[in-house]
Amino acid sequence: MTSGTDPFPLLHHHRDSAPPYWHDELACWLVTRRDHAGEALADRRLLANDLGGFITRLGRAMGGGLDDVAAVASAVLFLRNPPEHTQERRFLVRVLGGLPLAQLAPLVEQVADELLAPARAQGGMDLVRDYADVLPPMVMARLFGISADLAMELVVLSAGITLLLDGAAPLKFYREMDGNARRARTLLLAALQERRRQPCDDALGRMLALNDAEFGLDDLDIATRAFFLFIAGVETTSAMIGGALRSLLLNPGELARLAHGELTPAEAFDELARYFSPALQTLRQAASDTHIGPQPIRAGERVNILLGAANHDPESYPEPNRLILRRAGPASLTFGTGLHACIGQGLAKLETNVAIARFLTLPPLRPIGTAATWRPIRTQRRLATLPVEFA
Amino acid sequence: MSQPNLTAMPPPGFEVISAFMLEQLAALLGVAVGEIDPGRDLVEYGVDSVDAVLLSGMLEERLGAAVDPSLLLRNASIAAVLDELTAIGLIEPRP
Repeated sequence: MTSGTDPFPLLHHHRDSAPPYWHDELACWLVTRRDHAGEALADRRLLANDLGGFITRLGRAMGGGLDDVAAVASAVLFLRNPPEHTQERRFLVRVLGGLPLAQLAPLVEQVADELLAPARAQGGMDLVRDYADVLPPMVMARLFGISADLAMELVVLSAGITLLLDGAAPLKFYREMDGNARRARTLLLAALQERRRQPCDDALGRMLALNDAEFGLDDLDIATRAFFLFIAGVETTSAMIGGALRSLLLNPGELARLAHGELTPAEAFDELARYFSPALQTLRQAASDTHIGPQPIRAGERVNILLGAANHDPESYPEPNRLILRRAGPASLTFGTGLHACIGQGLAKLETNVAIARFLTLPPLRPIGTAATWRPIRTQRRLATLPVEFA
Repeated sequence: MSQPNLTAMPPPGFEVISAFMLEQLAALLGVAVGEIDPGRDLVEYGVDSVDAVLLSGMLEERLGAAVDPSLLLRNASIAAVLDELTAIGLIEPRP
């Protein structure tokens, strides 16, 4: 299944046929209903897909050469399982907990306005390439205390690594991503070492202080976790912002309600996250026999939880393919739930809400043409471009 | 574009790649080539996605063409992999 323009009709078909549905070619269960997806995400017998372990085994079988990408994959928190997951999560929760979210709004507004300024002069812009894809890395740059250039280099290095979540890739791609991972770790290690010489109260400095006080990782391990934090802070948030803006542009009635202040972006957030569904799927494997709804799942079987399908389940969300900003219903599963619920959702919501609020200060816009383009990635639903002009 | 490309090599023969795959799989599994049955399910040999990535990488280098690991994951046996490689024109048909 590819992501892109409109995956939902196919997902409806699967949901109606036999939930959960065994897919022969993918060799996994597909979970499409909102209630089943919530149940599966909460089931501790369903373990996260251990990508770090996979790449480590692959590197060993090759006689070495994938150490850096294996280290980065092993730092991806939502791909770890207890007991290691517990300590890893605690570390990152503490790092994020130290971020002054309440004080961040003005900083995000300032970045957003800087990015929107050229549009006012030029009468239009690309809302994905020049806004949604740039705002989160620039916010992360300010939080980390790194330069905009370094942040944009980390974006380039991370784009490929995110593709590894899609599943087994050609061998040369792992080698290439090993080079990306090595470069990113080296750059962030240098930034950490600067803070060793000159202590600093940015997120990198706080990671060092927290680590030294309580965790005892070496600096390269901290650099690796910082890279994961950067990727996690950028990838899905960019997808969410671009998707939210496109969803609003294609639903002018709902956009007008926001523009007229009938409701705030914060109040609209969950419906936009449900409707667009930037995170499409998450893979699990049964550690022991369990069940999802009435369906027994045997130990060893894989389960693909289709978050986008669950977010469009008509049992939970009547008329699921309509954007209804004041919709009632269960929370969307865009941030997951259970052990792996997103720990960065506060920051992601803040950035998205500010991005929408500042977008609303522009003159009315219309998309240029109808051809939005999409990134070729399965686990995410992410626009590549969204050109607009003043209406 | 109808000019034949004189520098293009013909695709390798079926038997050559068949032997190559059996050798590579035998080496991965640490068994003699004679012990591998091309018709038997790869799953029965314990081939997993790590092996699929490795084998597709070796095939890619040997054939000089892109080979996705999913080729090895969606085909049950070496024989089925060779059939698909033939069907997509990466190797010559079985003589």
